[in-house]
Amino acid sequence: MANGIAENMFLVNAPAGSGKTTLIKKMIVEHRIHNPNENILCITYTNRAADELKKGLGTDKLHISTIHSFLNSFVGIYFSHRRILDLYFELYGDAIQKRIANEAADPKIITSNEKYATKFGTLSFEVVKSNIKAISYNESQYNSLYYGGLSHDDLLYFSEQVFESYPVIRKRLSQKYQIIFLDEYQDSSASVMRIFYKAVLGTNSKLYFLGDKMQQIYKNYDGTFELELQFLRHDISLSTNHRSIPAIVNILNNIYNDPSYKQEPSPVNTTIDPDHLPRVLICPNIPERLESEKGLYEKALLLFLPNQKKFDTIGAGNLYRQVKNMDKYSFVSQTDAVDVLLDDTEENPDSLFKLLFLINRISTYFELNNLGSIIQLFKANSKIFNKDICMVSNHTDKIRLKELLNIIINTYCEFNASYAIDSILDSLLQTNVVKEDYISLIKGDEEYSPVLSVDISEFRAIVDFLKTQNVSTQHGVKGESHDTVFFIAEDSSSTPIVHMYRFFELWSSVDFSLGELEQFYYEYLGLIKEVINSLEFKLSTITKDQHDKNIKYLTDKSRDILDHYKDHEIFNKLCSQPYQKYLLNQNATNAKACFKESVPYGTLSAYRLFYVGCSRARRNLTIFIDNDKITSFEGKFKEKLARTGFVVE
Amino acid sequence: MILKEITIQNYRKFINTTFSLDDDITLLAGPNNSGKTSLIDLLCSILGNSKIPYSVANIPVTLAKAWCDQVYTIFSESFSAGDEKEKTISEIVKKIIPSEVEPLESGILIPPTSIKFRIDYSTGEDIRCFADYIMDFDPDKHSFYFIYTFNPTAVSFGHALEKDYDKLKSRYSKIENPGTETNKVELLKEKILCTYSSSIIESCQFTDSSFENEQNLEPSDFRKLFNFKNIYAGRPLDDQNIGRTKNLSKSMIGLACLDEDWKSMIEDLPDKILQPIEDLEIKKIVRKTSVDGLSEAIDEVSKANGGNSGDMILDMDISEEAISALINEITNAKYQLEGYILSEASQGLGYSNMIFILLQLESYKRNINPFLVNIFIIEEPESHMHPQMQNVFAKYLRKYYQQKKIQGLITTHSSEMVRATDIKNLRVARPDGSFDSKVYDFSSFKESISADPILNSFYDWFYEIGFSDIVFADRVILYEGDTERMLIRKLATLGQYTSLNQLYIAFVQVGGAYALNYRKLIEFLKVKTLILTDLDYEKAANDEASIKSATTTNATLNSFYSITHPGAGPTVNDLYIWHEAKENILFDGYAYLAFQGKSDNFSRTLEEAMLTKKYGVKAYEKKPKEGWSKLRSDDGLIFTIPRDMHECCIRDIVIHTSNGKTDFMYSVILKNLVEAMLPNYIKEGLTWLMA
Repeated sequence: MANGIAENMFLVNAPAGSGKTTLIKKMIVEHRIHNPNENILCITYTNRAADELKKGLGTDKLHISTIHSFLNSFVGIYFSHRRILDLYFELYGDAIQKRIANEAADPKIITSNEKYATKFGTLSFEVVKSNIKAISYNESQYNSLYYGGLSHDDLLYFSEQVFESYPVIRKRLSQKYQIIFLDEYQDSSASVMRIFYKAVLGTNSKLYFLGDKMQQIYKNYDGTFELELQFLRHDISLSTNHRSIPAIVNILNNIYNDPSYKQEPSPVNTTIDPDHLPRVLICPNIPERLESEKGLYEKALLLFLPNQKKFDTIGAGNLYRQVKNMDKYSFVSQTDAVDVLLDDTEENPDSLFKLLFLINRISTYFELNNLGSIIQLFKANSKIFNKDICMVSNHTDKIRLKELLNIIINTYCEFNASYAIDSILDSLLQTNVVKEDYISLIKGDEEYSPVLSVDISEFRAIVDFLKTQNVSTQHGVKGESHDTVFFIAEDSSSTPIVHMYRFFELWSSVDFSLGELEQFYYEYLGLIKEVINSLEFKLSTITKDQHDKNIKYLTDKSRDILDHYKDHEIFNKLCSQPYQKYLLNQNATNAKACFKESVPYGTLSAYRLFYVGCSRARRNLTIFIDNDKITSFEGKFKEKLARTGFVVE
Repeated sequence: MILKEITIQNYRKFINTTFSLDDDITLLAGPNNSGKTSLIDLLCSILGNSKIPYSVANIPVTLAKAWCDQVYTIFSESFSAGDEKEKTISEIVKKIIPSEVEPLESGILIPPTSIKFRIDYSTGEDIRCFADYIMDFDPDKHSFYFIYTFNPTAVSFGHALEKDYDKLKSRYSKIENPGTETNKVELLKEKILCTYSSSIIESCQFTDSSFENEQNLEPSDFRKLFNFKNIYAGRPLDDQNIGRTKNLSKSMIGLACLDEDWKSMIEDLPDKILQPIEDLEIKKIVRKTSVDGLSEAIDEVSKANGGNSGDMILDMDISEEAISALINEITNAKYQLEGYILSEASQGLGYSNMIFILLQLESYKRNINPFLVNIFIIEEPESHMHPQMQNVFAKYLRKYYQQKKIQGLITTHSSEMVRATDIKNLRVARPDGSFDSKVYDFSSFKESISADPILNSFYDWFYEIGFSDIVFADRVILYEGDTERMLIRKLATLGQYTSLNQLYIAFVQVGGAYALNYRKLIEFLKVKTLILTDLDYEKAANDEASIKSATTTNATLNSFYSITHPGAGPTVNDLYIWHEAKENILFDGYAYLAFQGKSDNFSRTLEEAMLTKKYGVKAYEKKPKEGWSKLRSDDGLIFTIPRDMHECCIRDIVIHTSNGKTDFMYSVILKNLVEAMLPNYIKEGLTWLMA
């Protein structure tokens, strides 16, 4: 380290359209030519990205996978080691004991505890401890505490603990891989970044963080790796935008507002003429205007924010409504209804939709008579499909399977009758193709019952939509681009929280860059967390009693915060009001509005979405703005838009 | 699981050829340089364990040349633009490799080497290993289909260009700069082709029965579907009488190691062997000579060290591996013959070769996996064997494969091997033009004649006789009499006809009534065939008019003529016209029917034609007997002049010479008169044949 800079670690900022995948491929090819004996590791965010990257590269000394499958195989080999088991009980012992005690008498836990007791005689911490011979990654969103099963998030957390406790494992990582790429770092959790950072620090291996903070779409990252990021080398930059015409690239540069990330348009794109200059339409009635514009640009990609509207457009409004109403996909949860409904990969975290997407793939293969791929799907999902039924070992099995699949596919694809999703599950039960346990877990969960009564055609509508994709939300798949983009500016108060107009208002009057807004957000978040930790409850649920007990603390903290951000423009515009109001009138109701992250987070995510939305356009970009929502800052906003490069109509 | 059908495209000499494989043995015959070995190499590189990198030579020359000419401009334009390396490379890649994103831009690829496989199974068979690749739900279908392709990708081609960039660039700049070297353009093209070839990557798909609807699978997973073994033609045999290589012995022991009894026997052996060694107190001797001397020194040193080094001892351990190695070292395969013991090398290479093959087969047999395609390739098993041995061995091999249910592919250039198998098991690799080869599938030939019982039994009979010669031949001559054969053999050594000697010509003697039977085979094999026959009109016709209106008794002529002119038999004049109009070139242009024509002086046989040519007379022109006697003695020819005739014509002479035709031909040959007496119809026929 010279001047605190980590010589062998790089942060490669790759704004939208700058050709990040191409860069990684190129770096891998070049590295191989010069260092044919070195091992390369490449961590991607999704399996899809991994597959994309693997194309044409071969597998020689190159390991490409998602972080989960990498850690599962790299750390997984130690999962039955005594010391690792001890570490597990050290970290999860309390949680296990709490669950056994079940003081709140949660009925679900009662059933699960009884089940364990029937199976193993008794349920006690000692029994659990002696029964777990090895821990494992259970590929689901919850830990299975009694069985040593690590969830999605906990695989990452636990791996970090393993790396921390056993430097020899850390050493193994840097000795095995001489060059490591971490793709989409902005969506990786800080745990993951720390694992690699610490493993590579001071070794001869090289580590590349690639991504774009503007394109952060998941809330995995908590801001605790900022300092390290600053000390990475920044000398590789992708400064050519290969996607958009110069007028749009100029707008993107202005929105990013950070000279170090400035992009140049590619020579090819300079020769392309748009149908119109990038424009902002300030409309008294957005839907009306949208209809008429759609008539002019039939193929335009419509970027909506609120998901309900999007799913209504697709024809799956009811399905979205029901899924969104489920507890596990509401508000603060890590996964939301959109992830579940649109993720057609095997990474879909929801049991039902993972199954439905599988059935859909089976139905596609069935139409092509591609039984082989169906069998491969069966094998790859052995936790779902019934091995005895789905195994093909002779000719009669082929004929038998055809009959079974016919029953399922007929239910799934029947266009005349309208079957509920539940009837698909019935056909799967009837044919015994899917394990009974798997289906009864879904059917037995009351949360699912409104979803199961939705018509299967709504799910098929989603599948059709995924094939064409000319309606999207601003959170949609990254890397996607379109000739003509319509961005419809809207707010959303539920997940994902987006305060688009609050952002516009702030943006009109304050000059800031992503880094500045982000820095403020993470710091402010830290302060809020401190308060919540010390209170031991969230402000949103504060009672009069709780308030009266803590009135002094809250008053002091409110003053501290106002004092701390006295001259901070962003804070003053976004967050100061509730504190001032509270200090004027100290009661529980006013306290609820303080120490909340939603306003700065909603503004920050609006900023990112606005940028990413604009960056999707190759040639024609139109922003639709609701006239009523900008009246208080219309003048400044129009000026700002014009400065940014838009034509305002 | 049976490998049923293979289609090879764009590989070396094979532009597009399909052939089926039999359930037991498939014999791949063909002359040298017909592509047999290339074909086996390809199968080995795909199905075998040895990784053979894709070589430039695999690209068919015609395709390679056309491609080089096409892309040469792309390279020279990109280099002349003078951009930096990266940009130049990406421009070239963009123009040559089709884009994945915009498949409309097609790119310029050489049509890739690809091999299509069809694998069949029977209803009761266990298909668990193949289930992942089923592409139908049809109860009547029992097949799997795969395509294996060699093509570059944008990444691999970019990679290769990057590696070769400096070389390519320097060859390009040599063209730009004036210099003395010639063929600079060709040198660059050659390098471009090498770069392209080095970027070729294999990929594999499973498909439906029309080889569409492709789904990827890893080439390594495809390989796992086969239990494949190959005995190369260049196998090691012990011909050095020193007997050092001992390949047979090694193979025998290797085979024994797989046996259960061997395993249980050898288990106890280490202890049994150790005992006598211990009894001999060998350790003691070793210790005395070395360790004791050392120990003193060690003692001294260790005292200084605190005395913790311990004593040195010897330990003996005999492992099973050590025993196997010992047995290998001390075993010699020998032959016992009438009480004499002979060494491995003593029985000649042919014998060793046979035993080597049998041992390999025996060890393969133990690894047969009923879930996979079991295929065993032997290249030229006939090497070093004499013909009779070849025949017996071929029949034995066939029985072996049938009994053990192994699918076998055997390459050969021995007619004996061909004779020992059935027509339906035969595949023949043959050139089809200068740059293309094809594999001729005789199972389909056999099927095409099976409806005709006469033809069917004809070919069964003929298969044992002359058939195998035709299979290897470049050209075929069908003849009726021995004298024709003698004449042509001699001709081939002379002047303009020497090129006949460079070709493999199959001479097949046929009776006139049967020549038409060969039509199917000639058309199937597309082999140029010259059919020699005689005009044979009624002998009584002895002037021009009666000859021209005469008909012929020759069945070949009558039947061949009726192909183009169905109906009543032709007159001699009809045949003359037919001949002149070149309608005697038949069977898609692959057969030429040669017989005495208008310019052969109205002769009706070979001998008549030769004599009329020599003496410049018409066959029926009478001359005094004395004149003929003088000519005969002047030229030293042997023929009979009828004694009871005062005047006679060549026809009369030939009739009277009918018992001495061979002597006549000998005399022609020995007096070096072959060229002078060569009839026009044979000359024309041979000229056609050599073209």
